[in-house]
Amino acid sequence: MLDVTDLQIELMTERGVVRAVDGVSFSIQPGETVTIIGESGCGKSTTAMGVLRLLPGDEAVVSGRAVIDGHDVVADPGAAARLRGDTVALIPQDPMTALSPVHSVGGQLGEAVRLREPGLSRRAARDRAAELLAQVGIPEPRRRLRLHPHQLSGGMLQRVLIAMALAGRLKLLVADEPTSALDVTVQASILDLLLTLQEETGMGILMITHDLGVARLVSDRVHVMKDGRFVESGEVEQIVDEPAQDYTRSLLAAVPRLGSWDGASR
Amino acid sequence: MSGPLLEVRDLVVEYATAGGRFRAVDGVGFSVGRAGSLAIVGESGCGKSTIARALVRLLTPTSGEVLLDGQDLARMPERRLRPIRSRIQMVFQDPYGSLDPRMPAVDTVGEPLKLRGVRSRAEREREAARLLDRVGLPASTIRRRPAEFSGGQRQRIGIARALAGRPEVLVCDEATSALDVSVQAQVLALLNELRAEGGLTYVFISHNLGVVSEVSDEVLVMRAGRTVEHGPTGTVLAAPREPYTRALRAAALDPTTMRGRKPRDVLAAAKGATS
Repeated sequence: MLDVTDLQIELMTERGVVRAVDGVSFSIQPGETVTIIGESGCGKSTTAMGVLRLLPGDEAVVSGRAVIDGHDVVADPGAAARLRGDTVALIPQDPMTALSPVHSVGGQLGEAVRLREPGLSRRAARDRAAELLAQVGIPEPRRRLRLHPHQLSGGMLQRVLIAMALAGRLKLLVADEPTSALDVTVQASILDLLLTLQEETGMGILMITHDLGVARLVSDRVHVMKDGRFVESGEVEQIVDEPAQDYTRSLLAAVPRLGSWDGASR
Repeated sequence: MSGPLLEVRDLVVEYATAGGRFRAVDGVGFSVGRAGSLAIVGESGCGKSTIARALVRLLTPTSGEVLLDGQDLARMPERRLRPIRSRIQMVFQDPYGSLDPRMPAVDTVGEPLKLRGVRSRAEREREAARLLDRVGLPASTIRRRPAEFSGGQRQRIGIARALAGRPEVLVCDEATSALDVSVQAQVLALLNELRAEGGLTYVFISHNLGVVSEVSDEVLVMRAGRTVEHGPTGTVLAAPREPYTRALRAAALDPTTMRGRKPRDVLAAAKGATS
C-alpha cells in the first residue's frame, strides 16, 4: 500500500537548509496501522506531508522513494495529487480549522463526493453525503448536513473530515495527531471509528502522534523518530514493554503515570 | 493573614446568547491554601475555562466572590485591581493570541519585569533568559518572534512570562497540553519545584488526569457549570464516584498498563463507567 525507501526531505528555512527527514524507510500493508511517534520537530509530520507531497515545492526537496499503490510519488508529484483526492486522504490535527466556516457541512461533503463522482446529481451527492455521515457514526445525518462547522463539536468535525476521506476509494489514510485537539473521552471513540473503518475497507493507516498511549492503542508497528531518523522500530508491545533504546525509554518515563483502570473500584 | 490564599464562593457567570442568558458557571465554590494546588477537570464546555478567566478577572462574574487573601476581586473596579493583577497570573492553552507578534521572546518575558521595577534593560534580559532557560527554551532562540516558534514553545514562553511577574497564584488553562511528553515532564517538575521553594499556588485546568495526578492535591470535577465531585486527588482518581469522572478515568491512556487493549475496550470501559 505504502512503501517508503530512504526518504530524505530538506527544508529551506530562513536559517538555511535543514534536513528534516534523514533517510527513513517503512512500509504499510493493507489493513495495517503503522505509527511514527516522536516529539515536535523530530520530522514525523514532515514525513507524512512529504509522502503526500503536500510540502510546497519551493520550500522542500524530497528524495528517495515513496510508492503509494504502485506509484512513486517522489519521482512523479503529479501522481500524488491524483491519488490524494481518491485513494489517499489526510486527517489533520485540528478539525476546527480544516473546514470552511462559511459553507455548510453538506455543501462541503457534497462537493467532495461530486469531485470523485462528477456525474452525480446534486440530490444524489446529498444522499451519498448523508450516507457517509451515518457511516462515521453521526446521528441524524440529514439534519447535520445543513449545519455549519461552528455548530458542531470538535469530535463531530473530526468525524466529518473522516467522512470526506471516505468519499473516495480510500486505501491509505494519513492521520496527523487526529485526536490531540479532542477530549480524552472523545479520543477513544474517534480511534475506534478509524479501526472499525479499517476493518470494513482494509485501508492502511499511517498514524502520526506524540502520544504513546494512542500509539499503543492503535498500532501494529511503531517507528520512534528523533532528529529526522528512526531510532527504534518494531511491534508496538515490544517497543513499549521492552524498549531497546535510551531515547524510547526516556519518552516512556516522561508520561505522567496513572496506573491501570479496571472500572471495578466504586 | 490566615485562611486560604484563594477562595471562591458561589461563583456564577452568565453569558448573553441569542437564545437568552446562558449560565456557564453555576454556583461553584472552592478554596486553595498557599502552596496548594487544585485541578479543575471536566469536558469541553463545562465551564472550567470560564472559571479560570473569572479568577484573573478577564471577565467579571455575574455574582459570587473571588477572594485573594481575603480581598474580593470579583467586582473590584479596574483601577484598584491593577496593582493586584500581578499577584494572580494566567497561562493560556495557546498563548499565540496573547503574545505580541512583533516582540522577541526575551522582551515578551522581560515586560512584566518592568512592572516589577527592574529598570536596567540588561538585567531584564538576563532574568528573562534565565526564565526561558528554566522552561527549556534554547538560548539560541530567545530573540525570535512568536511566529517562529512551535505551539509547544509558545506555551513555554507564556509560562515564563507568567512567572516573570512573580505571581502568588498561577492559573494554568491546559498549560501543558501542547507540549511533548519530555518537555511537559520538565515543566511539571518546574511547577512543582516553584511550589515547594517559593510557595507558588496553582489552579490547574486540564483534562489530562496523568498531569492532574502529578501537580494537584485536590481535584474538582465540573459538569454543565456545576461541581459534581471534589476531593483529594488520590481519592477522586482511585475511585471516582461521578459517571463523568469515571469515564474520564477509563478513557485516560497510560501506555505502560494497557497491553493488548484496543480503542473499543477503552470505549466500552468509558461507557460502562457511566452506566
